[in-house]
Amino acid sequence: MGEVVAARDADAPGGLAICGLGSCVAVFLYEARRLRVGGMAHVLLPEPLPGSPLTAPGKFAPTAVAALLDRLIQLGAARGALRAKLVGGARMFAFGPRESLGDRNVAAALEALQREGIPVAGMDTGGTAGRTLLARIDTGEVRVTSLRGEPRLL
Amino acid sequence: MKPTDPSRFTPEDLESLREASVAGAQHAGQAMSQLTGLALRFSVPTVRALPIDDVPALLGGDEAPVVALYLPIYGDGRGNILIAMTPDAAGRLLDALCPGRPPGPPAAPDRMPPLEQSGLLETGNILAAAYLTAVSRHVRLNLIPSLPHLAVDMAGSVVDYLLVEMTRGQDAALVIDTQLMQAGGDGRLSARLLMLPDPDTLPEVLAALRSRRV
Repeated sequence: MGEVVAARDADAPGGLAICGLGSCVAVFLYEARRLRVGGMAHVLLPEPLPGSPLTAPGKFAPTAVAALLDRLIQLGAARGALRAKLVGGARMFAFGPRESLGDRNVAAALEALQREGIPVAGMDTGGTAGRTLLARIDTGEVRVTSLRGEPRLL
Repeated sequence: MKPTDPSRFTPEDLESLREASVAGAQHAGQAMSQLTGLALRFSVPTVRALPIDDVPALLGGDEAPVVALYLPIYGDGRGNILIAMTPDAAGRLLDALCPGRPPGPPAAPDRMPPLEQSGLLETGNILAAAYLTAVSRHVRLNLIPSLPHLAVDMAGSVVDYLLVEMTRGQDAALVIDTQLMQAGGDGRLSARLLMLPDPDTLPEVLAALRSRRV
């Protein structure tokens, strides 16, 4: 949790995966045209808290998106070609405030992407089921599976 | 408020938490045996500061399906209790609690018959109350379980919310880990009770434990 991974397609031929995602949100960025580099952040919280360790920017939506973007650009990504797909942000237990941690994570990730000017090309978020996802850098495709229902392709 | 790093607790602190949990585990085992009519007991607890990424492995791995009961703890010390079992074990438990049900693992909560749902929730109530009553008595602090919540899903997805909400960005969580086993059984009715104390409220609990020693 809290990882930020960026890779060239050739270095991650099987794609990037996160297993057992609950209220956390996966932000996947890929190049819409050249499909050569892509990356993923596993976001835990909508924003850093006072006193949060800043050693792990990947934990918080705004810093995770910024860190992922930095790494992709270092790898030679064309910024204008980047697209985002978002997965996760479920409410695993039916209780608590109307807006769950998952909802807040999704909203914060969307806000950060908008601020960076990255269009969102697909989302599978919210609901009450945990998710596993596999994101392909070479196609931009994200396959989402859960213990309920059929796999979803984004 | 700055969250407390759980790795700052000393081995002595962890040992006194473990001692406090032993009575809880025994008491919870008794309650479960009486509830189900089966010979069940809890193992001696272990207490560790674990990287939050390692917690799902205790429950079989990120994608392992689990039936999970979650209860926040209120009172003088805060935290969470998570009771997790395999769908198979939950089926066995329900066979004991709801005779005549069709055998097999339970469905997802939204498709589970209400009787089975209340059977599982009641199990959470009784286990957590038995556990916390004994721990409260030991530490002489008031620890109150709230209502249980039920989820049937992948272990990783069930624990990420609890860990993130509680640790608020820290890398590690304090885990008091106890295993429920069926004496003389085939091992298929087993469950795990994880108590995850909120590190921010632990100093008071530890102070109470220390003052008892003197």
